[in-house]
Amino acid sequence: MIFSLLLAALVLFLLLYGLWETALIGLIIVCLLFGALLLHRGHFHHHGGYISIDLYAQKSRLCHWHSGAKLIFCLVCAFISVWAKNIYVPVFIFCAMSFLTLALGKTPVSYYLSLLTVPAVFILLSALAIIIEISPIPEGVLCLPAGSFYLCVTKANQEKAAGIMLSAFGAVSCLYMLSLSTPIYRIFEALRKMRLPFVVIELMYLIYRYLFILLETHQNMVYSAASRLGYRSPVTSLKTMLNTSFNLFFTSLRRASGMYDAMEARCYDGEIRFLMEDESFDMAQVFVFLSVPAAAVLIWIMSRR
Amino acid sequence: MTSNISRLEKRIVMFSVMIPLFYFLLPAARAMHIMEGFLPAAHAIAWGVLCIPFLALGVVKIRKIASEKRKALLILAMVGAYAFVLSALKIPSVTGSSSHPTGTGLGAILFGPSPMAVIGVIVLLFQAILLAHGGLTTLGANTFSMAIAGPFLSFGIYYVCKKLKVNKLAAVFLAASLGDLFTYCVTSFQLALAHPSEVGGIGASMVKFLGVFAVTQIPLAVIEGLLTVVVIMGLEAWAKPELREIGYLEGGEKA
Repeated sequence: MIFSLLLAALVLFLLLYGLWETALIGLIIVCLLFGALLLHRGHFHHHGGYISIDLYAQKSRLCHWHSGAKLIFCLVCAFISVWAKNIYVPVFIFCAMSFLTLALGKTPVSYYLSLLTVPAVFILLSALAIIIEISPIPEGVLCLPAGSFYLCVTKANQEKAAGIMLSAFGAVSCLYMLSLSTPIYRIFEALRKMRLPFVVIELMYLIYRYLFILLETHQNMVYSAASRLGYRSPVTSLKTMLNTSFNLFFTSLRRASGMYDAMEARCYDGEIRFLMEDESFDMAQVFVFLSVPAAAVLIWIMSRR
Repeated sequence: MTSNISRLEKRIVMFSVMIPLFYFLLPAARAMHIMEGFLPAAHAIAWGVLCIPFLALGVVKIRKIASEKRKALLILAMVGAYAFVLSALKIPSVTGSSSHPTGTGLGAILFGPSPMAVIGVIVLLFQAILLAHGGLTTLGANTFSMAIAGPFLSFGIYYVCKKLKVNKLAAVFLAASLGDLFTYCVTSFQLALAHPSEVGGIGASMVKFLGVFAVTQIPLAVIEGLLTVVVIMGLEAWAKPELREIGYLEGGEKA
């Protein structure tokens, strides 16, 4: 937690170094960190028996939209965001997708924001690797001698890192639009209509079902281990972790075996059939699915000139 | 037999005492999935295309497994769910880290590498959609590093060790932890290829990415190895019938 905030501060500092006065940068960073600390309080992404994204997806107002079209729409937008090597397109896509998720889908803003901090550590670490240049001679706006070579920050690298971070957040917003509005079994159904091998779809359904069994079993194990002081010290924690992980595997193997017997007793012949609700297309959906990518491409072309 | 296992277990636990010491010093980061939007579009598509033959091979294999032993399909699905749950759980460490083992080494040892490619891509899709971990555009690249490169190397090491009659638990440990490390190297390579450094090119950039992620990945590989050893040890002691069902214990086992 504190590590990620320090990391964010470091990356922001290096990104903005040389642009404005250093004192101003310091001030901005302090404000941002304070905001992030406030924002991060008390949000968890998964509890014992369920996965919170899945829950929010079920509640979304966009849940009944055509899921195959939604899948393609989000993929196309994510690719446009990555493909366009400029800063305006990802920003537009980020705004459009956030609008869809928050205003039309009615996902709680606080949850959405806390979800956005999930990829932050990866993005920040990688940005750090891109900003810092290892070079034999000192160059750029900031240099740190390290033995026989220098760790340098150059203007070109700052721009590159900023561009990559923006397009990453643009694409992340597309992913969130999909996962916060579409329960995952609807995605399976969409994939089945796209003629994926049936055995893969079947595996997906089975894995999805098993997830909840495993999560619940594991939660119970953690409770009982914790009540026996299993997480008292780092060493015991690790030991408990190894033990529960093994036990989880072992019990799940038994469960799978028992489940097969139960299914066979109910005439399982290698195909599982599910009842699916119908999904409808309407004008609003068609408008959204066509207008957002079109506008993004338009911005891309215009900003090129 | 039982005392033998508990002694081994004790030794492993003693060894594992060292790992939390590492963890005291180490910061937290998510495991090595390339985040959504981090690869240029051309790279993302190319890695995806590269995965297709492996996935096709995997589908053929799984179909064969399913037609021979239907029960094995359910167990395969359970391994997938297990890998996902491992990734969803945080390893309880002092820093509140959320790094996690991949669990694919275990699957590769039990089922062989190509079915793991299919299971891996499904698990990665689940992780992207349900945990916001990884992404849709980077699905191809992540599949290649986690579900293809890692398991194939794990399986190769395990196979070679078996031929050379190395101690089985050592073989399992080596296979799982080196597979994990290899996944991390491939991911760094993918990132370096996508974002080469201006001065030193791809090589220099790869060194940078390896350095940045080494802090979490190296202890994680050790944990992955230990976990896989503990699971395999336990399975051989208590779950022989299940293992025989999936064809792991064929031939002169424990000779």
